Amino acid sequence: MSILARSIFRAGEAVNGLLHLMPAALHAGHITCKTIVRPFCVASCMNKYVRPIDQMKYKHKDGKFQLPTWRIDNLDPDTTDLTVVSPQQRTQELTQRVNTALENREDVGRLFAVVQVTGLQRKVTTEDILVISGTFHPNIGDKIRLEKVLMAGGKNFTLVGRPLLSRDLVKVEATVIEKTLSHVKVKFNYIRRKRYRKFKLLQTPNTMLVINSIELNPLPGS
Amino acid sequence: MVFLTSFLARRLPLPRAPDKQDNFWRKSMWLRISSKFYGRKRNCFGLAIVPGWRALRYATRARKLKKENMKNLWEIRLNAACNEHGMDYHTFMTSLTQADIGLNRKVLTDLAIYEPRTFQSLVQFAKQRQLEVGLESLTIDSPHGIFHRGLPNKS
Repeated sequence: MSILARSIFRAGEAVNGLLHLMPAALHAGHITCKTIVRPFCVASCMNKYVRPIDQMKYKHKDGKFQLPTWRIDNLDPDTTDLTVVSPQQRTQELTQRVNTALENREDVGRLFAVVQVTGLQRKVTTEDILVISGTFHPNIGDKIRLEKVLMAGGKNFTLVGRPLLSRDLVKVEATVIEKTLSHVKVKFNYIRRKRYRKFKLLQTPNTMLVINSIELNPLPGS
Repeated sequence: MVFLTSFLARRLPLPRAPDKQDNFWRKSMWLRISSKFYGRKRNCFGLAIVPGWRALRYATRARKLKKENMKNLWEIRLNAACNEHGMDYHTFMTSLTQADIGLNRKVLTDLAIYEPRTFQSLVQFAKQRQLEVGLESLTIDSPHGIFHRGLPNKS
């Protein structure tokens, strides 16, 4: 689908119309995704997904590129929307919409966040309890702020960090409520006829965290 | 002083010669492990001990295997979730990593199950990015009449 759709990306109707035509679809079968053209393919193509890098090999076989050339003159200006919105403009619109949603607290709903604690990522909401296994230094009753927030979202929007969201934007607070040991794990191994046997009982320290609050501040640059 | 509880009614290790220690406790430990086995392995110590070793060895190995199995399960679930939106799993993951989105497979499967609209938007993002930086565009000049939209090429 990639090349076809890229060349006439805005003309959705035109693409759909073309794919219904069998000769066009057959021709496009070498460069489109398998799901659309599958019924028209030969048996060898049926079970195999042709990767883009393999597609390149097919194209190089004759030393010529056999690409469909789509020209802007062929597009019908009445049916296709050719207005171009710049990315900056679009992000501005989005930030405004998120900020208005944040102002009216009812629209946001229950916020969720994806946090990374001790190398593990978890999706949390408020009043969740996390179990952290292994060494974790905060003691019972400590209030901590989880700083590595990869994602935060509400009812109608989601903010995705690349890779992290900034400290000013999101605030996830948690309290340590319990420090215990895990269940007993057995570590046992032996090699037969070699008199090798190891037997050990293990318990890892576990820490329970309660998520107190997830707060979102309005986005900058609106 | 009288102890009214049954605490001292249990069996205690008897004094023996140093080369002959009481095997009762050692045997009872392995029989406790084999208490749910089938047949005479359950009660006869001589038959119970080798399956008991094997069970514990499996238990130690299983802790590592569980992580690998969960990884496979997340991949299968993510693959299904991507196919639902007409997307390939590998292109989805590569486009996310190229865009510096560090969500792992576990969180992505959680999102696909419990936050389907968020996952859908991630797939849309990946599709958009695939269109903008397709593999084909590395070697071939872009054909006439392209409309670049959405997020810009980061590289």
